[in-house]
Amino acid sequence: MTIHLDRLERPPGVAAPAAVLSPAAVAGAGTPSLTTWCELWLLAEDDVEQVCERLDAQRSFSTDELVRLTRLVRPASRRRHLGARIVARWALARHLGTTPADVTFVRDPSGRPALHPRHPPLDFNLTHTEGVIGCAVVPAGRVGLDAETYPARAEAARLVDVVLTRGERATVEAAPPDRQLHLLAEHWVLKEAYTKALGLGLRHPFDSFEIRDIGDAPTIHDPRGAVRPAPGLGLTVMHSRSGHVMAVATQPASGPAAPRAAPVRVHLVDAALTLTGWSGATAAVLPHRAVSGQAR
Amino acid sequence: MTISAAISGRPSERARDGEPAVQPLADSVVGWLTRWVADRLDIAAEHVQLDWEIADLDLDSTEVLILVTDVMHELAVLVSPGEVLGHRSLATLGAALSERVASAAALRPSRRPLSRTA
Repeated sequence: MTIHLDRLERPPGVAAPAAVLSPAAVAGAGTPSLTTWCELWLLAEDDVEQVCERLDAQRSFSTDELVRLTRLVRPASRRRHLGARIVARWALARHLGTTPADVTFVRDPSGRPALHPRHPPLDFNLTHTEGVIGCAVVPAGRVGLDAETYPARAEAARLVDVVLTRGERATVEAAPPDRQLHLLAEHWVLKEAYTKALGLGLRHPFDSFEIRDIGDAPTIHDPRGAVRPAPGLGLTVMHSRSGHVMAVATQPASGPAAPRAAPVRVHLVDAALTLTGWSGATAAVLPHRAVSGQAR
Repeated sequence: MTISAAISGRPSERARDGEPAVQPLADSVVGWLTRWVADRLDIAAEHVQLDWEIADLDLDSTEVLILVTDVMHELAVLVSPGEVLGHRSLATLGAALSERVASAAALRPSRRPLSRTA
C-alpha cells in the first residue's frame, strides 16, 4: 500500500508536533496498547551546526555525552552524533513536558539509549547516516528506525550474503542492475528497523528472516526468531528526494487487550524548522512517499 | 609475522613443543584489527588505542557487517555482529579473535588460510 506522505499528518510549518501526549496520558492507566502514531523527527546533517548554535545545545548535554562526543574520531561522526543527541533531547523534552537538559538517558541491556525509568515510558530510536539524522518516538510499545543512502553505497553489495536470505537475493538479482542497490537499501532499512524494534539490532542475524512484497505492502516472516514480534507490528518504508530511504517498525505494547494491526500514522517533523525556525536543508530529507505493511 | 604465516605454522614461528606460537599470532591479529580500524576511520594506525570502546568507534551497521565479513575472509574464523558489539573494547575483541584464530590453527596446522596476508 503506497501512501503519499502529504496525506498523513505532517505538522504544518513551525507548529508543534501534531500529536503531543501529556506524561499522564502516556504513563497512566488505560494506556493504549496499540501504537497508533509514530513521530519521526528528521534533521539534515548540513543543518546540525546551525541548529546547535541557535539552541546553544551543548549546554543541555550531560558530561557523558560531551566526553563521548570528543572521543569520536571522524568529523562526520561527531556531527551526526551531535545532531542525534539534539534531536533526541528536544523531541523527548516536548513529550515529557520538561527541558532538554532534564531528559535523562540510560542504556538498555542491549546498549541502545533509553529514557531513564523516572520518565514516562515513551520509546524512541535514533539513526544517522550520511546526510540525515532521525529520531522516532512512540507513545507506547517499541520503535525501530533506520535510514540509509538510496541506493545503498557500493561497498554494501559485498554484504548480500549476510544481509539477505536466498529468496531475497533472488529478488534483488532479478532486478535490473541499476535497481539492485536500491532494493538492497530497502531490504536493509526494513530489516534494521525491525530488529531494533525487537530490541536486538544486529544481534538478530539479518539473513535469518525474510521480507516479502517489499514494493507493495512489505511483510516480515521470522518464524525462527528467538524474540517474537507482538501482534500488529507495523512497518513503513519511506523515500525522500534527498536520496535516502528510511524505515520505521513499531511494536505495540503487549497485553491481552492488544488489538490486531492498525495503520501507524507517521508524523514528520522538520527538526530545524520546528526547533529554531531555521529553514535549511532538512526540508529535502523529509520523505515524500511511503509504503506500509506489517509482520506476519 | 603475517597472519597467514602464523596460521600456517611455519616451524620458525611455532614453539618447540609443537604448540602454536600464540603470542605472535595474537599480536598479528590485534595488528590486523588495528589497521582495519585505522583504515576505516582514516587515521594512522598508531593513533588507534586498544582501550577504545567499540561504541566510541561509531561504526555504523554497514561497517560492523563489513568487519564481520573481513574477519571471516582475512582471519578465516567466524564472528557474529552481536559478538563484535558485545565486546567492550578493541583489546577484548582482538583477544577473542586471537584465541579463535589460534584454535583454528591448532585444528589445521598445515593448512594455509583462505585469504591474503595481513
